Amino acid sequence: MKKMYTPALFISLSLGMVTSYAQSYEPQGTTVKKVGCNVMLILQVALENDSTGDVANIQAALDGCFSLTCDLPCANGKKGRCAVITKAVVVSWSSLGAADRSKFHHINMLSGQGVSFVNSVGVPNETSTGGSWYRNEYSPKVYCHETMHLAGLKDHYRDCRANRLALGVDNCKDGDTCTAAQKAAGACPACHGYEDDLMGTDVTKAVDCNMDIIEVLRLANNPLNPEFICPDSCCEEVHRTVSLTNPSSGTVPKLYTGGLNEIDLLGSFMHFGDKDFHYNSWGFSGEYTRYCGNHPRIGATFDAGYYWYSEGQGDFKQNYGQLNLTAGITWRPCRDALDPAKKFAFSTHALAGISIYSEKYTSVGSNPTGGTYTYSQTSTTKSFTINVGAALDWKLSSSFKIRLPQVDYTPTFFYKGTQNNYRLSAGVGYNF
Amino acid sequence: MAITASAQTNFSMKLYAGSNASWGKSQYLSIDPQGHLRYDQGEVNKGIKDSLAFMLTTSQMAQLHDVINTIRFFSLDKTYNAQSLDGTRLSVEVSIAGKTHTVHWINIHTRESELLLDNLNLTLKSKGIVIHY
Repeated sequence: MKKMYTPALFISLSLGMVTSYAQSYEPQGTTVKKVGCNVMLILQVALENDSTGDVANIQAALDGCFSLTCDLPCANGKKGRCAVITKAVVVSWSSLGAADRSKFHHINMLSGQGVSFVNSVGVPNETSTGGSWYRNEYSPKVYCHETMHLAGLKDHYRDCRANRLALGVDNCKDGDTCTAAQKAAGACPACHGYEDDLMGTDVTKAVDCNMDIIEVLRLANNPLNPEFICPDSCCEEVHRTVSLTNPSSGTVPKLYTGGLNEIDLLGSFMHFGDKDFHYNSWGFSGEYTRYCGNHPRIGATFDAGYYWYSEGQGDFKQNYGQLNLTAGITWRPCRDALDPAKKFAFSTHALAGISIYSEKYTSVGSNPTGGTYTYSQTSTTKSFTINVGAALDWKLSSSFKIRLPQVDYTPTFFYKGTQNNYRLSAGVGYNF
Repeated sequence: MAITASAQTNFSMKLYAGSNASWGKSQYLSIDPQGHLRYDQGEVNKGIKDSLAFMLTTSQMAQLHDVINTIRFFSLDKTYNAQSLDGTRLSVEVSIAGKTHTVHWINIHTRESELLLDNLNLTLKSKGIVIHY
């Protein structure tokens, strides 16, 4: 039997075909949104006056920077199911219908050599912006740098060119100023911490999860939570090791994945005493710190140490021993402490507790009737003590570190006086 | 007339043309009231590659002074298109009779910037210098 397609059926089929070919785009050029346990960062760029190959070339350049997946850790520091996933979409402006054009950052392609620019810094989840990009740019990475401006980032280099200084341009906002040599050279050094970042002075550097992607999330009022912690509903014990690659740099982009427990074993030098009586003693210290899951820069610390000193003259010998037990708060003021890419971590602590001081006098004498005798006397006393200090750690890995030194002020109040003791320690630490 | 000519040329100028980003070419030019001109060309973060210094004639100085008046330089805005990032810019600082004004054109050309550069480039043509951004 011959089938006849009615007009209604034909129209339905046509609409269906149009629907199936119609792309679904985000509503603006830079989108940050939560999808399940993940946060998506999607950048949409449309090229006008594009030549053959422009879309493919720009897409390839942006894929090299933005095909990223950045981990977001759970509150206990372990890996959960949360990630920030970035993606760039590049199309030809002429391929877009009128209804879709406002959803893209509008880039005008220019021939020849020049310095590409954007019309203004973008704002995530708000109106798209645009710019002009040169086909023959200094490096394909320039398009990544410009796209990061479209995403909302400003430059992170200190502009020491005379006229820029007069304009009041201060990209770093860290209180530092250009040196005389930098001004004379018209240099543009990176802001502190951005030496290896494409928004610093070298646009050929990589997009960084912790520096760039997290900054864009902050601008979008991070849809996950202000601390960038994976919520409990997305966290579970993950026993496998996941390897993620940042194609543009070859490094593994990770946020803080360290444990919340830390043990430090240290050799210590203790200067004990006051201006009338003092000595230098040696010993060991051990510390345990448990960091807060929601605020891993603050922790509760228990510190125990024993230090001894002996001196003698002839048959007379004196031994001194000091046992300190203190507990309190440790604070890591810099975010670098949580950043696995940073090699050093600084911490301060304020503890209080008890110090037990023991003295033993031993003398060997001669008996009038011959032979020798040994006389010894031991006394022990206790005092309140505090332990206020700071430490610098050199991170060998996410688990092991070297404490490089730790400096403490540990006064005691024996014998109705004040002993202004101080302690210098160094050793190893284990984080789990 | 000589006194008038020297009064008319009593100005100084500093100019930057080129990259507004952390990469790209840069041109620096300065002219003092006596007509000493210094020109440096280089790349951002890579230093100066080429330099030139010479004297402008009284008539050349007078011509530049005229174009500064023609474009009403001291009435121009301080910045044009300030919200634009990277790209190129022209920054011009002019001092006359104790008054100083600086104008920045960022990724934009106006009639005033075109007139100023056309006149300046005419003056510099014999030395093979072309100021552009």
